[in-house]
Parts: sequence; C-alpha cells; structure tokens
Amino acid sequence: MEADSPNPAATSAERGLPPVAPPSGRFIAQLFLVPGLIVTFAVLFILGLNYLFVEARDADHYLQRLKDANPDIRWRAAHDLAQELKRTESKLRVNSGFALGLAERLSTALDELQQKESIIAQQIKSLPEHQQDAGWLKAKVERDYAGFLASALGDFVVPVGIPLLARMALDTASPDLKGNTDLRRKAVWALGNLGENLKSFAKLPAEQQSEIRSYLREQASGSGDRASWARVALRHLETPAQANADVVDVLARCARDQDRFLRRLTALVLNFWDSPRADAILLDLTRDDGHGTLISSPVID
Amino acid sequence: MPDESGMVKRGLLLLGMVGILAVAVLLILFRNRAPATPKVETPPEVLIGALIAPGAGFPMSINWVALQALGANLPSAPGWEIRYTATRVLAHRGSPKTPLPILCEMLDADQQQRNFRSRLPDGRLIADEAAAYHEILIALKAVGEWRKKSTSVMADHPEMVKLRAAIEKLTGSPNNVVRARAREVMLTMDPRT
Repeated sequence: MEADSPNPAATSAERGLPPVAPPSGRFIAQLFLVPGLIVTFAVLFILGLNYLFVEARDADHYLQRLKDANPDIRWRAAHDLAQELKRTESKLRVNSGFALGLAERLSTALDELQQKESIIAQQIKSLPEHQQDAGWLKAKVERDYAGFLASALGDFVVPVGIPLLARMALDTASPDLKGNTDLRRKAVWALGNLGENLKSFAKLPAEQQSEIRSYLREQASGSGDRASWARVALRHLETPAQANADVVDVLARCARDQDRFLRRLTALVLNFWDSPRADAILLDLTRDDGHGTLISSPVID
Repeated sequence: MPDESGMVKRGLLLLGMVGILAVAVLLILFRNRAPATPKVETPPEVLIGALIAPGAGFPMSINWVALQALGANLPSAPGWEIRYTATRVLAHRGSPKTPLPILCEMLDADQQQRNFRSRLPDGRLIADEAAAYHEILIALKAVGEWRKKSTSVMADHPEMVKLRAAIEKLTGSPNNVVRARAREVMLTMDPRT
C-alpha cells in the first residue's frame, strides 16, 4: 500500500528543475532586439512628426495664423510664437522680414483698437464709472492682441519695432485710461528687451549680419511704414550711438509720466540703452518724490 | 524558577527603549506646526496719532518722544521704489553720480523691513522679511557692480565710509545668504584695494 502511494518528495526530485542551459542567440533576440526595435521605431516616429511639425512653423505660418479669424487659432499661434521667440537660438529672432510683418500686424491692431475704443467711449460716456470699467472689457481681445505683438517685437534681435513701441509708450490720448496704461507699460518693457537683444546682433556671424543689413536696405528704399521701420532698424545697426539717443528721448518722456510704475519701469529699461543722457534721467529719477498715480485694475493685475 | 539568563531584564530594557522611541516619534508627529510668529510692526497711523498732545501750547503740544519713535518706524518717503531702481541702474552702469546715501538706505535691513510690509487677514501689520532681504541682496549686487566699474570715488570719502559701515553691518545679518554676499562685497570695499 505504501509503495503505491505517491511520495511528494520523491516526485519532486524526479521532476526537478529544468536543465540549466546557456541562452541561445534567438532567446537574446527575443528578449532585447524586438523591444529595442519597437522603441526605436516609436522614437523615430515621434521625431519625424516633431520634425514635420516644427518645419511647418516658419514665419509665413505664424503670420497667416496670427491674422486668422478664429481666435483659438490666433492665440495658439501667439502662444507658440511667444515660446519660439524666447529661445536664443531661434532663427525667427533674426528674421527681418518676419519682424516687419509683425510690425505691420501691430500697426493694424493699434488702429483697430483705437477705432474700437472710440466706439466704446461713445457707448459708455453716460454710464457711471464702475459700469464704464466693464464697458472697456469689450476691447480686451484687441488690447491683448496689441500687447502680445508689442512684446513679441521686443524679442527680436532686429529692432524694427522701435517706432511702434515708442508710439505706444507715449500714447496718452486713449480714452481707456487703465487699458492704455497697461499697453504703455508693456511697450516700455518691450523696449527694454529690445535694447538687450540688440546687443546680440554683434555676436551674429558676419554673413548673417550682412544679409540682415542688405534686406533692411532693400526695404528701406521703398516708401510707407515698412520702409520707415526698416530705416530706423538700419540706423540702430549702423550708427547705434545716434539711434540710441532717440530711444532715450522717448524714455525721458516716460520718466516724467504721471504713472509711478511706468517711471520705475523706465528707470529699469534705461539700463539697456546706452546714451550720455541716460545718466541724467536716472539721476532725476533718484530724486523722485512718488508723485502721480499708481493705476491698478483687473486689466492690469 | 529564577531567571538566570536575565531574559526578563533585557526584555524590559528593550521595551523601555521601544517606548522612548515611540514617544519621540509621537512628539515629532504631533508637535505644534504653526508657522513662526512674524514680527508685528506698529502701524504709522498709531504713532502719528500719539504725536499731538491736546490742550498744551507749543512746544508741549508735540510729543517729542513719539516724534522720535515715528522716524524709526516709518517706511521710506513715497517714490522709494523708483529711487531705488534708478540708483541700482546707475550703480550697474558704474556711474560716478550713483547716490551713495540711497544705496546705504537700500542696505539698511530695518528700513527695508519697514518698506516691505504686509497686512494679515486679522489686520496685523507684519514685515515681509523675504522681500526685504531680496531688496538688500539686489543692493549688495549693485554695490559690487558699481565698485567693479567705478573707481573714481575714494575709499576715505565720507559717503563711502558710511556705505562700508552699512555693508559691514550686514556681515552679521541673521540671513545666511545676505551675510555671505555682504562678506564678498566687503572685499571689494577694502580701502587697500
């Protein structure tokens, strides 16, 4: 009876573990090669998509998207462009044609904003003040768009945005005091960025500098706003000392503004524009008595 | 039967040690996690109210003690943000016209704690120490840059002596970063260099 009954220990010993054998080449291939190939193809696929996607984002792509009637497409392009322009290695930052294209967009945007502000001013002039603030929010989309374009122009190495930024910084005629104050501050800040970015023009390869100058000369020979902006940019690249003095003149007027925050920003921005007059303006600002107003609103905050 | 091996004693000792450990862990877990009590500042309006002694003629109508205390409790005059920014930029540019008294003010830790104040939801006015130290670090950096670029101001100039004293005071700051930075800047202020 005992002999018939299965002995678990004996059965286990008979069965034992599978024989130990060195792994075959096929086994290794199954373990590593196949997953490796899958991962490689996946990475190549993603890189390929990324390559195609990035290639599509050239200057024309952005200019087309930024004037799209669909605000979602417009703002997605603005979002992508804002990130692209902040990259120091971005080729778009030295693209003069693109900068001039954006300047044209900004000029149009400012005109449209001005028109809309006039219409709103007529609509809300009989309303109490707190309702007027709400009324100005109707121009928020146009104002934000102009603010974005101004900031974007400040990120270029080619200073074609200076005339428009100066116009914005000095504009005190807008009926929308709070919204306009916000735009003026953005313009002054963009001028500071432009002053800093302009320094990197000298670090560009000589051929690239020459190409930029040639393009700007070609544009400057024409007429209209585009030619005028190109001439100003060219002046900054060829005779910076004289051209800087013009920007410092604009900043000098901002340093006398009633907006306290604008005066403070101006002091900071003067750090990026070299001119003999800059020290005198800064010295005046070191005696500032805090006069004027410090405008704050939901639009600004 | 007597326990010759001392097993019970050793067991009790181990239990005691585990108990101590448990108490320590519980203390850590349930300790008071309330934030550090910030330094409460006296609102200037309280001090201004105490300035006038009604029913008395001049000079007794003014509480001169309160007036002295007021000077040590008020923030800088309006526009200090603009003055500080302009001074800092002048210093970065290495301008010999950089106003050293403003730099000294920027390096005054007490003054910066009065300039950077926040009001808590319960109405108390507290010093924003982080912002105050940040301003001091900015000022120290500005002094360092200014000394690198501008050597025209002599080390024994009275305003330079005051600036040096202000930085020297910061070398004993309770804030480690400020203290270390102040020591670095002090090296540039050495009259021998």
